[in-house]
Amino acid sequence: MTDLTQRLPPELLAKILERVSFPDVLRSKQVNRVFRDVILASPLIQHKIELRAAGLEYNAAAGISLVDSRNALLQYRSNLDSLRPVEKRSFEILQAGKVVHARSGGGAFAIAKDSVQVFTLGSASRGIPHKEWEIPLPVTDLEDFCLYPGDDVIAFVEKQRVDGDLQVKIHLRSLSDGEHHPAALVSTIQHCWRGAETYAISSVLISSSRLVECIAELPGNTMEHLAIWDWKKGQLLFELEDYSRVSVEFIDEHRLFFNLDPWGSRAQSLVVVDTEKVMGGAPMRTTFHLSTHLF
Amino acid sequence: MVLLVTSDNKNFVVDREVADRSVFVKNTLEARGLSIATPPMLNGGCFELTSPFLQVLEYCQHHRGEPLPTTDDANADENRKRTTDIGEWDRKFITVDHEMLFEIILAANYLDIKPLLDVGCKTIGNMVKGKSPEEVRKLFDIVNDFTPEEEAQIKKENEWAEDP
Repeated sequence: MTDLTQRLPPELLAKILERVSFPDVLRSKQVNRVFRDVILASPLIQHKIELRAAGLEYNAAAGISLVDSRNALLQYRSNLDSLRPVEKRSFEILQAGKVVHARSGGGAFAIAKDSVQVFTLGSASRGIPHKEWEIPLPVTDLEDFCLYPGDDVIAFVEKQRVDGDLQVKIHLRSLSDGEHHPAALVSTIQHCWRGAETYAISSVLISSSRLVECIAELPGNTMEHLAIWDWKKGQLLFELEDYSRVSVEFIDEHRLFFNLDPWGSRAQSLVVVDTEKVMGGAPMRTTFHLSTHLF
Repeated sequence: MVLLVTSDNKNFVVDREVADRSVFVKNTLEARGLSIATPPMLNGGCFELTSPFLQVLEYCQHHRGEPLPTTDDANADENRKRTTDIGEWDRKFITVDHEMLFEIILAANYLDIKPLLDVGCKTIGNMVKGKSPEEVRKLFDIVNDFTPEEEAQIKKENEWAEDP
């Protein structure tokens, strides 16, 4: 009989497990009940686990004593305890039986019902006041909207199905008063997706110069078509097809960051598309491949 | 010289310096003012006594005269536990089968020979290093006595700390 757990008493097994590294402790916990119970009963191992959970590391070799690491943990806990929301506000956004869109961006929050209520998310600690105002909703059947307070812009999207095509209208407005945006050449961008009657708008995004329209055949479908606009000039820059994306965001004014999943596989890649730099009629892409085990 | 008697009545005559490696023997001798000690662990009768005892004696002879670790220095104690490296001679010494390794650890624990206990524990710790639970079970003939629910529970508890 050489079963370790039968041959050595728990206090000696504890001495052994107190010497192994953190990942080994976690794996050891899965060996059997004796291992698990020894780990649960050892104050030193539990201390190490607590430290690790707090993002700290037990490091006796660096001359950090148990007393030091315990103090660091107590300090961490008191820091956690001192974290309190500075302010708390609640918004009445849900109305029974009515679709309500709520979007946020750049420190503002907007709710579109019959009109659009806009809130700046103020902060007493940073001296930013709360503001609330209302602007008219320029469409009757709102599909989606997006806002960029830095450029005082809000874009409302509506869609129509005409003869097998998908007609998209994007209304650009000033976020502060709901009037025509002074920097936009046209107040309504019109776009026709040929043969895309069955498609739906999956999202719109806006930065200080670009606007991105994403449409997909089914809601939640990741095979998408994108249109990238210069909204100030009312000019369509690119149409990108079959972008099977997991997510898309602006990194800055004109660069987009995609998490792509090209063939619905797990071979995901991160792509930065620079809409300012054009190569062969398409915006320049920089792809970062990720190994699959990350996901 | 000191006479050490094991429970299966084998006599060992060793230098005091060698016997003193065992804090247990040292304290016993000092308390009783005697030169004969019978380590009572070895009276238990459940082990094949002579062979681990010979091993332990070999260890004590090799390390005779070295300063004993002080028990009041908690930091030094922690440091000793933390490092996983083992000296060259000790590593060769402890390269034995599992059964003997367990016996040496048990003897070192009972006879209170901290550095030897340390070497034994580190050796097993190093064997566990990087192994999956199943590999550890296989290595030490351990039966997995978890219910599938318990196993799933522990895996879930561990998730937060797993590396991506």
